[in-house]
Amino acid sequence: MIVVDQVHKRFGNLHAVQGVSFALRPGQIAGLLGHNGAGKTTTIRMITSCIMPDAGCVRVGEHDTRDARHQAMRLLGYLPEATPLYHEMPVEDYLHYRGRLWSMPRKDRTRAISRVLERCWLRDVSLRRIGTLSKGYKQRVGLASALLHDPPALVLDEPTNGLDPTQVHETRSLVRELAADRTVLLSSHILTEVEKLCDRVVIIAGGVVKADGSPSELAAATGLGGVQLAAFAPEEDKSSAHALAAVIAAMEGVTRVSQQWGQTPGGHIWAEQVRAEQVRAGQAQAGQAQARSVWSCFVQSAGADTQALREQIALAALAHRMPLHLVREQRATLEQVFAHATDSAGASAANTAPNSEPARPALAPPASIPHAASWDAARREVAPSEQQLRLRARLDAAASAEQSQPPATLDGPRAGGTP
Amino acid sequence: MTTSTSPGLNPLAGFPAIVRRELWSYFRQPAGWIIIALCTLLMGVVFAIGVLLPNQPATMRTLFDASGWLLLPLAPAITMRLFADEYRSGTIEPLLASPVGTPALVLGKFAGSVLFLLCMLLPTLVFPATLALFASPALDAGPIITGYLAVVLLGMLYLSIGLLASSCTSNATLAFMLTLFALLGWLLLPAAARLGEWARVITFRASLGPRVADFAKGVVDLGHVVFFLACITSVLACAIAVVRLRRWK
Repeated sequence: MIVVDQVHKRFGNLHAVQGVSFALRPGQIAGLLGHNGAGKTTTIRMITSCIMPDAGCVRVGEHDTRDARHQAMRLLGYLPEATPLYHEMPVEDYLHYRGRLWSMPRKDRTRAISRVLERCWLRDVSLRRIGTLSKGYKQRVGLASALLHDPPALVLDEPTNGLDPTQVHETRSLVRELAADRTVLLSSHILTEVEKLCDRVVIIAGGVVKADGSPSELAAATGLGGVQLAAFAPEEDKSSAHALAAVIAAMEGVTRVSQQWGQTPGGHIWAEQVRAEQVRAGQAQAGQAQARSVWSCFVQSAGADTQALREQIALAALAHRMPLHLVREQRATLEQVFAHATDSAGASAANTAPNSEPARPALAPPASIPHAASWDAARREVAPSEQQLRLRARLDAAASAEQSQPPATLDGPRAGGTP
Repeated sequence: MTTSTSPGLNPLAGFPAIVRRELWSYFRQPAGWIIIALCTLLMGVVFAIGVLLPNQPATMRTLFDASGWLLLPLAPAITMRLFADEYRSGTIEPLLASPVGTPALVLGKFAGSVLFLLCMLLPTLVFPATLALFASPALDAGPIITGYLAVVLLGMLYLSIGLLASSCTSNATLAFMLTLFALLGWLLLPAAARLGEWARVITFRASLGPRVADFAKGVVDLGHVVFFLACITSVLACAIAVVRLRRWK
């Protein structure tokens, strides 16, 4: 639907876009990710022919924007960054103006305006001047004007920039709804937004495409994902753990197994789990939990889906009489993918890799929050007390209900999920 | 998915929409009304002082002769926003991303501003009406009609220069100043005649004052009309080139 082929753009000495290429299929919702100044907006402006590329070409549908700009633009709806609008115009008048620009006959225009007013929840403010509307409403007016000619492709440049959380939520819902029957290219530097909305991610840095693929593909390509295991294992049981690690290493799809031993660390969710376990087992009084030896292991796998691998590991642990207390998938977050792709935060990304720092317990919180683009991401990394409390409640409930449960557990579909 | 529009490749597609928006935008903002008031005030003052004189011929030549100077602050005020504001606020982006050609965009904005110029001149019709009321014998309408034709042609030329200045910058104040100085330079061109014979010839051919004066006398010289239209067309062609260039820059 949208093909960007080796486009270049220079502004004086600045080579802003250097051979960017990607292609979007019909129905795809893609996120164009990058830091400020990475070349996202310049790329989008070239797609929408607001500016022309110095080299390379952009095709929308069958039409090259150089030779058939008008036909190409009829297939595109464009919401520019910061939603520029004529503030002195009432909403409905503005939409009529946009309809006239597309040479829409009056009857079609009226019908289309009615449709977009409903779809973008603008009916109540249709007679108000745009300048008097809140930022969220202005964003909707921008979207409504982009949708007016019912284009099969939408290009949205940072659609939630500057909105409050409620407006962000509303705009995302609307974009998700619109994406049901359209190709959408969404530019953003908010990673969580792209993670929530897009099935394809194109990462741009320094005017160059650094990564392109689905979020799960990109996460797998970083090599930071896999399965995390942990168990209490006395020093004398090292041989069982090593044997289990060897069996896991031989499993299909496993590319690397790294294991480490340590004492129960304090101040983290893992210590909470250990303490609860010890109290339950009567080994220590509350508040005086003894340190125990912990075996932790990170299994790196080639595939994106670790469900089968986790099941195999659980069965192998049972066979080796290793009571696993934690088996969970750890997928690279988009923050890690982004840092990995752009290299700018590569060191931070490496710090978050469970197998990269053997001296630190696998589940210990990082010394600093790596490339914390969102509070959600930061919260996942440091494991807040809410999660600890939930975990303790679950452990207590499990202890009182069933003492003779099998030792291995299968928990948590995602990294950061409650174990 | 359908596009409910005709797939035509009319180079002036979107022209009426732009004309309409530009015209109404003047009336939606205080600036438009202030410009109209200022025009009426300035022309009213000249009319009261230089035209409405007892025992003098009932003619509006003084007013039309002064129109070059009267329009000097008004034309830049009308045109300064046309492109500069669009570039500054970013509203040019949805325009450029719509199936509207650059000629349609530039000519649409120009036509919108010319229509506003006509609206601005409308209240000044009260001056010839007043003159007709007191004139004896009856007022000769011919020179007044040709005089207004001169004001419109001169105004169109000023507006085209203002449009070009506005297309060159994203700063409306700068566009105003550029237009003002360009027009001032043109009006003061006769002063350069002292530089030599060649300068005298050039300034004589390029001067605006004598041409307007001819119209005000009731003489419609086709050469003058062609001169104005050629200048306007050339300046608009430059504006189209500038807007195109900014798309490629």
